Amino acid sequence: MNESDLLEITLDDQKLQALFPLFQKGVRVKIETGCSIKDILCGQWGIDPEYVEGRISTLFLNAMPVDDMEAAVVRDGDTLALSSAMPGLVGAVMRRSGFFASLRHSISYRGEAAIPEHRAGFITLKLFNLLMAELGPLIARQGFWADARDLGPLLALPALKQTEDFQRIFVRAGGGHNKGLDRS
Amino acid sequence: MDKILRIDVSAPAGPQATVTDLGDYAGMGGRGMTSKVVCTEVPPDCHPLGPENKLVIAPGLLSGSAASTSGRLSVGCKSPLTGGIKESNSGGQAAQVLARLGYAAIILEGAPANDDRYKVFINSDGVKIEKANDWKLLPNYDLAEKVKAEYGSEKIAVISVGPAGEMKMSAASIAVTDREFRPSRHAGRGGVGAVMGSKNIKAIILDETGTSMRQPADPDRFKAANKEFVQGLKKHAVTGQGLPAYGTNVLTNVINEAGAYPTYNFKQGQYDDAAKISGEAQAETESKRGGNPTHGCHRGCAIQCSGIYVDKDGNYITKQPEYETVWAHGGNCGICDLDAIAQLDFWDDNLGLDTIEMGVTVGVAMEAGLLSFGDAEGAIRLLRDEVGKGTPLGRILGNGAAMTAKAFGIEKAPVVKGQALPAYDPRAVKGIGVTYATSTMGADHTAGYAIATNILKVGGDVDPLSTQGQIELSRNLQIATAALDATGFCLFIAFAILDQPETFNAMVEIVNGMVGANMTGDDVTELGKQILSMEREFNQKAGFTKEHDRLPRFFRREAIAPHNATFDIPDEELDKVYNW
Repeated sequence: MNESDLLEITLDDQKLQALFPLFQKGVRVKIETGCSIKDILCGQWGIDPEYVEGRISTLFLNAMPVDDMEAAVVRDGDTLALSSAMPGLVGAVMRRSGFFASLRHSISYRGEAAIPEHRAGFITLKLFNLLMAELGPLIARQGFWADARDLGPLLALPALKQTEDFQRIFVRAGGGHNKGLDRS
Repeated sequence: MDKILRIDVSAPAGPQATVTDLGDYAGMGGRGMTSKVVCTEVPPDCHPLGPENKLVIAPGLLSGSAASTSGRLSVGCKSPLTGGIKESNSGGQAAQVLARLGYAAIILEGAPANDDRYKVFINSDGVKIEKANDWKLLPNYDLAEKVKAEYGSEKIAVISVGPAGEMKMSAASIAVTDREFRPSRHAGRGGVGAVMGSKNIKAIILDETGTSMRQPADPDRFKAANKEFVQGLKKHAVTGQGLPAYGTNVLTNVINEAGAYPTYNFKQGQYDDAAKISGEAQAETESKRGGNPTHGCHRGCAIQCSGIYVDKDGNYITKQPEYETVWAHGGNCGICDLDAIAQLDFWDDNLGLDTIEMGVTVGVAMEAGLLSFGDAEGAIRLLRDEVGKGTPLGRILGNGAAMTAKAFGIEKAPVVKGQALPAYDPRAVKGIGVTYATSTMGADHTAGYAIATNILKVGGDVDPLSTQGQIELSRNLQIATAALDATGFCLFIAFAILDQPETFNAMVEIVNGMVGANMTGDDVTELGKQILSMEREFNQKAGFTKEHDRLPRFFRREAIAPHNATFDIPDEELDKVYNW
């Protein structure tokens, strides 16, 4: 499916909160792939490095817990999930470079031999817990794609009845277009 | 807390109460107290429902004081579920009230002479025991209403068993009333409710009228440490933000993303509908409906990880189901309806059942074809109509996952020492599999929960990236947890004391200020080792060998998606956990 053929809707900030559940399941965003997670977060999305270090304490790349954000390289089609610090022993175990990381050693991200070249691509981005409200607006201002089936019930807008013809919808919050996320 | 209340239920005229001093149990609290009494006074080879077993109920060392977040209650006995020693832990109001009444423990002992039920009323004037046959087989919520009508609720806390405990089911819990006088907090694991039921004590009613807060030996030291401790909890991202906002169920999305979320009776590690039952979805639902996602299970809690779950009309269904409950009845059974999960949580609490054990049991029943995965109505029916009414099928289910698997010829019973595994797949997170396998308590995620071992440096510094590190970390976690369980502090403080050494030091200083001691981290470690060694010895005398410190074989044989992982920690490594 050609992403650019799809329906586009623009939301004001007030309606944005209704979309937070989408971030748990994952939305598609366009990025420059072949870059490190740190590069994407700080360079492409412009998130403050201090926030990234202090707040985004749990990350998964394709279900693998990530310890080194600068070493983990994102490819086209990957799934990146971001979370703040989690409770529980296993929550602590999942934490980036935490003391208990060895307890999930066998599933941790270990890097790749071949680094993919930089090019435009799509990833699935998931935001959990506190990060939904803190990073959700930023991602929405840049725009993301969501499945029409997931989006319709959340917005409950009459116009969305028309979306039965669309599988995926481009959503953007008001407030401008970010250079890092060109949807064309 | 300078006395112990012993209730001998054997006398023909009904239970007799005796109050003694602490004797050799001086200085013990919580799990330290329960395990020491059980190890000293209960023959390890006794039948858990027989006259030789004892039920020990003990507040933590700090309970009843102004120490923040210290209202945990320990319940110990020989477990009818595992056949080994058990300490089960609960929030609610009872620990605070019991401690303020001056009791370091209540011990129920002996075997009843007849089928009469009794209620025990304790206030600052003493102890009164009366027949309570009109309360026989009352569910916990109905019982709370009866108690409220007779004694009021403002100054009262209740410890009770529901029908499951009276029917002596191995999954039976002991209920503790919360701040709103609801029996929603439970010492759930290991069938402690069956042991209370076997003593024919239906309810223990605690009246705090006329009592006052326990005073520390060194008030200035205590007060300063408590202030710093609370600040530490408030400023930490987990205890100050994540837990109050979403509760423990905030873990669902993350554990699911990691591929460590056991789904369809441990068939796969991710659940497609996890987002529908996540802590985020739960908190949003509660807020929209007029419930409350931020609530403490007892007075004096600084974390507030609990909540109130209401229906679409704003009517109370249950307390906010915790992560383990949402997983056990939700993802593990393929049920993605938060309202149905809340109903299941209510029925567990009302009947007096462990939510983890019952969720896993229903998952095994689904595996056996008794009902389909995803059948929420069927799951509610099994609890309410089969277990609750004590039908022959209900008796099987109420005795847990291992019993149910055996009855229906299913190999895949996710249990260790007969107790159901909690919500983390040990094939994806092998380190927690070590704790599941070797804990004295049977499969128990809280047995190795106190994540302060890097500060305590139990057993020396560990290289966390070595293979050996998984064994050593599990050992150290179990030691630190055993010590914390003795204090009455909630295990959730562990996150703040892990990251913030000053908060850890403040916690130790609270204990020192309370009892007038000068404990260090080493002393905390020694206390944990002492407790674990006692428990281990009890289990060995009860017949447990190293072969019992194993996960079921299918965890080694069946790989779990998405990581295609099996549990492959060698047995010889597991056997090293207790080498200290």
